[in-house]
Formats: sequence, C-alpha cells, structure tokens
Amino acid sequence: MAVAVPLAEMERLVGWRFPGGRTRIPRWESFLLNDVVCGPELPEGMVHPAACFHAPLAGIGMGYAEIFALCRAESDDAIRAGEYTFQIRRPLREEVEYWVEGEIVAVERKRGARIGLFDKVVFELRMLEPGGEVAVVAVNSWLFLRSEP
Amino acid sequence: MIPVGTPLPEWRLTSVSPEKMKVMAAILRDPNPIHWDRRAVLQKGFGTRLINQGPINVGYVMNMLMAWAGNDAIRSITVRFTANVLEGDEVVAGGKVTAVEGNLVTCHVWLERGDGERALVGTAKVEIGRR
Repeated sequence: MAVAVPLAEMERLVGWRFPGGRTRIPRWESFLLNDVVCGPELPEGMVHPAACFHAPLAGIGMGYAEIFALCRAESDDAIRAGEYTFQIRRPLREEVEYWVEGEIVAVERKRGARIGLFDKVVFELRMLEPGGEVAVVAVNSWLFLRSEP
Repeated sequence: MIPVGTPLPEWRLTSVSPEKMKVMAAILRDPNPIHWDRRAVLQKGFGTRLINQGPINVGYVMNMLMAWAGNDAIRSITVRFTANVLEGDEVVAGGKVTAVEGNLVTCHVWLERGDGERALVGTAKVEIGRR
C-alpha cells in the first residue's frame, strides 16, 4: 500500500511562493523578546536577532495552520523542526515595516532511525527593508512525519 | 588573528524561567501548551516541566556570540535542535573557532544543559572588529 501523501504531490510544492506581506516589530515586542532570551542591552532601535525566527513568518501572509495544511501535515504531533539558517545582512530594527517574500525551495522524502518516514520541506523567506535591501534571509526546514500502512 | 580552535567565552544561565516561556508563547502566538501548561506536558508524556521554545535556546547562543564579537556581529547562524531544555535547567552556550577568513570568523556553536546533553548544535559566522 502506498504512503497516504504521495511524494509526487509533495514535490509539486517546490517553487510554491508565499503570498507575502508586510510586518513590523513594535518597540514593546522587541523589549519583551530581549527580556525572554536574557539578551544584552542593545543599541536604541535594534531588535535581538532571535526575532529572525518569527518575524519572517509573521509577514509571509499565511499562518502556521495554513502552512502545515499546505504541506499535508498528518497532525500537529507529526511535525518536527529541522534545520534553521539565518543570514543577517542588516540587524532588524524596531518599528520598521519590512516586506516579506519567500517560497518552498526543496522537498525530500527521507527515513530517520527515530522518526521513521518523513518529508523534509525547506522554505526560504526574505525580509526586505523599505528601500528594497534584504535584511534577513531565513532558510528553515520542517519535517512532516508520514504514517505507513 | 584568532587561531582556529580558540574557545569562545561561555554564556551561562543558571535556571531557565517558565515565566519567560509564557511571554514568548504570546510573542510567537504559539498555541502549543507544552510551553505554558504543565498538565499538557504530562499528558503528552514529556514529564512534568515546561519545555523551552527553540527560538529562546537559539537566543542564548546568539547572546554568547554578541558578548564576544559585538551586538551586530552575527552574519549567519545555522542550528539544529538535538534535545529539549526544560524549566529550571541550567544552560551554557559555548563555541569554538573553526575557520578565519579576513574579518569573518566561523564557529561551531552549541547549547549544553547542566547534565551535559547538548540541546542544539550549529555553525555561526561572525564579523569581528565591529566593537
């Protein structure tokens, strides 16, 4: 019997572009983020780079649930974090409106010793300053576990 | 010139706060209760302590790099999570220089729990001389 989610269906996601959108990190959020990560005193207006995790996703034009549905997640418990890469070309700034764009760049079906069969989906998201300069490139992978008959 | 193999100064937190996880859940708009409801942690079979968010763990490693090279020195970081960090855990962020090219220093980085298990491992590139 075949796996419930055919590989060909997942591979068709490569190149799929997110709707995109704008996002802004308000001062209060920046302050609280720096506090929760126990960060250093930062120069005025600078956002702790830990924001690279959530800020691109906040502006991509889709919520987590929609992304998980797109990737045919079998349940919330069938998703694992893969690898995260952040290129920081310019530090993120408070109150700046960034444009976020991105796409799915790779899909790979693999088998792990502990988690069994899974699809690794790789996303590239870019945060652009109002002038068009890229501030942050985030390349993240999520693993979608696949049940087998 | 920084020699390859140079250890980075450690960054240490003696006890991970469950209250900060709750604030982070709100910032991330993350509905997963393993970060704020101990009953949910128990029901899922993960023990009795809240589980720290991955982005906070990476933030600790970033703090270590920022303390060493400057607040705006991180050019890139790649991480992979290898174990959970729980409320009350002691954590130590560390690293070691693996390559130097001009002002760009590549480092192996990690976050280690008090019991010696590594919760994340990765690679970072920092630009030195920005202080």
